Amino acid sequence: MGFPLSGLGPRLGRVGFALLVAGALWISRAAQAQGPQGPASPYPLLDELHPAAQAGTEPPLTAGPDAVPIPSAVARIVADPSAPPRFSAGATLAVSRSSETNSSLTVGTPVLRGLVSIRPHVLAEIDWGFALMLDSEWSAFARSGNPWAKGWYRGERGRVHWYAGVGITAPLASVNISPDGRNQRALYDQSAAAWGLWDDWRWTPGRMALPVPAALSFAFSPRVIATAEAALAPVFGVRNGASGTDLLGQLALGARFLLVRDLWLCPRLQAVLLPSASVDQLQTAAGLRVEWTPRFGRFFLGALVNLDEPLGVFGRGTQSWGIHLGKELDL
Amino acid sequence: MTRILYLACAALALLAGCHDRDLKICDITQSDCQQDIYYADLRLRGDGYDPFAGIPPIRTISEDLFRAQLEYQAAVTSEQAPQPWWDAALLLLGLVPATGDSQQASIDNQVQNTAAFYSPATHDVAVISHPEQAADPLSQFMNMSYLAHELIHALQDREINLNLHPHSTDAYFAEKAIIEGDASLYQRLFEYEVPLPAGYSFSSRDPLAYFSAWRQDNLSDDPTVQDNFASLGPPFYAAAWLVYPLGGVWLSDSWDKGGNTDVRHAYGKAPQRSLDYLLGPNVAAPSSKNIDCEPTVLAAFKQSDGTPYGLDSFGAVYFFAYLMGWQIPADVSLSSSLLWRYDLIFVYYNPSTEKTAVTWRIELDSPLPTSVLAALTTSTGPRVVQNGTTLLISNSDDAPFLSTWDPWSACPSP
Repeated sequence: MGFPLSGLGPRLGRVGFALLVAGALWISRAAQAQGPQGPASPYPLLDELHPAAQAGTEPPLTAGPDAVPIPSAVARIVADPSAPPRFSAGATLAVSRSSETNSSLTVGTPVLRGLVSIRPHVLAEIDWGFALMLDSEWSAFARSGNPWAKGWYRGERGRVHWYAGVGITAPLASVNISPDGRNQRALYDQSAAAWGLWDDWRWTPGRMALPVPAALSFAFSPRVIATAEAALAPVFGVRNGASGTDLLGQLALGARFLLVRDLWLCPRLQAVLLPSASVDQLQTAAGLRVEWTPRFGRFFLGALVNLDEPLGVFGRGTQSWGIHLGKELDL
Repeated sequence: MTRILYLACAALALLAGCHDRDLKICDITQSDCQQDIYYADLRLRGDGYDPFAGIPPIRTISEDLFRAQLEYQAAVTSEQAPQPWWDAALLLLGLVPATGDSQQASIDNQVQNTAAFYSPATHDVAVISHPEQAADPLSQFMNMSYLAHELIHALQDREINLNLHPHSTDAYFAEKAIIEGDASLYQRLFEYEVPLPAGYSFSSRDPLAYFSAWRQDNLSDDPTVQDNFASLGPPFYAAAWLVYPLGGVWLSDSWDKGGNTDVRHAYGKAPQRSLDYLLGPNVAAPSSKNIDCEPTVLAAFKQSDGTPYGLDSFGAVYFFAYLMGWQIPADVSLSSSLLWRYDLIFVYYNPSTEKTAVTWRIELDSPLPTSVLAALTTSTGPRVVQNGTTLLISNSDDAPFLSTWDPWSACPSP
């Protein structure tokens, strides 16, 4: 059920790889057109220490990472928090592949993101995920996730940088009760699994949510940053037979280690509090990401492994994990 | 940092060593057991996990309680929409026994043969406790197996419409076959995951071979075969049980070819006729014929709007049941029913006399063998006439009316 990294290209084949390459090319071209301006900052922009602190002792950290958790947005440090770029854009692709008796299933979940800085400390953001499936019969499906609009307020005090926000999702994800219903349901469930059920309101069909996220980072040194992120979201059934109100909660703890110039290693542990109807009430996952943060953008590649039930590789779970790739850019 | 990485790897290795995902025989009334079975179903289907959907409530009920529920439902249905003409029609065709009422026969049949069921209306699972089942490991194993089957229905209920509203009995059989075949396939795969009690073993671990053998047994008239057709009840009710092996063959063949992916696509290309399930997968589906002529009958036997009281298409499987009911050998019944290309059954009822008349027109690919026709022509049974490739079966409990009734006289000869 795992996803060997070496098999990524061949298995993603025409759809996934083309999407990935095209997305990266487009974003890179746009980045070049903009020139190497200030570092990007989409999503909770958890700023690192000012680069000046490195002067003379370390390579200049002109583009360091932020503390955004692995399955969520791509992000970069803002070198000058008081003057963030006005617009940012990003894209993340999570991929998972199930290999079973006589068949396989590959799911890609690109999340596109746009962010605008309204004031120095106030930001508005919208992200929109899509679920794509390619199965071993070469049938391809694509369905919309739930777009998520949110506003952020950010602040800082010494080595601590924090973000708090509130958002709302639009219930565009849906499953038609039809002969194709199982494929559609599997598409959303596998998409959510690739993210370890993190931000599950993006993928849950027939429901809308009011997520209240927050994040903070603490810089122990220019090379080591601790991060935390959490969110609570009431989720309402609004269409396609979904009903009732549930509460989703999530918490992630992570760290960022500077390996060499512009190259960061970012481990992360996350836990998601599941709705009351779920058999198990918690989904934990571990992730590891490598980020490269040159002047012209930010790239990352990582893997997320669900640990325990219901999706985990241990115990009775469904053994799901995902590969995450991303690229982001300021405009 | 290297130390941290080592520690993380060690923690994961420890976690891996502690995990236990092997299924064990357990009591399905316990929540842990239910969760084990649910997770096994999820793993086998490979669709992921919906955190907003949980396990449906599971209750164990006695045969007596199950019977009482069925009788209550039948009484309510009968009160709301009594259809005595259908009982009479099935009796006149020899599809249900002359003794006892067909409704009671249906209830007896269900109580005897139902192990568990999922209710889309109440979203719960009922497991029927049969007194002959002792609380031994084999019974527990079987209960786990039944629960795995019913939990598949609970998962299906989120994907497809389980409240079927088909236009005919034939279409209903086809829809049931894909649903039950799907659940039966994963039930079988689930059974392979559970260690059997000591002294038991699977004759085959190939689902297709298993369902093919089941199909063969159910279509058999060999009295030495435990699950032969007659053992399933009167022909009309026995035919309904064929959804399991026929659907199972179809879905396990699909799984053999393309695993879960192929099964996921199976609903979109599922046959709409029982004939195709009877023929089996990998057989080109023959085209259907039409019937564009209505029988003639006295106005007293029609509803006020001139329509018959009952109109249905029974399909190839019920034609097979009919032939078996009239003691045609099983192999001949099967080959004859595979000639089916379309049918319509018209049921008429005279409310003033409470008499019923039924005529069943079956279009065949080629005429039935003379020997079959001869066996079907009995002094007490329905009147059977074959015109070319059209088989005309008629009967009525109104003897004077039947003696003069020629329902298809106004229709052009085939």
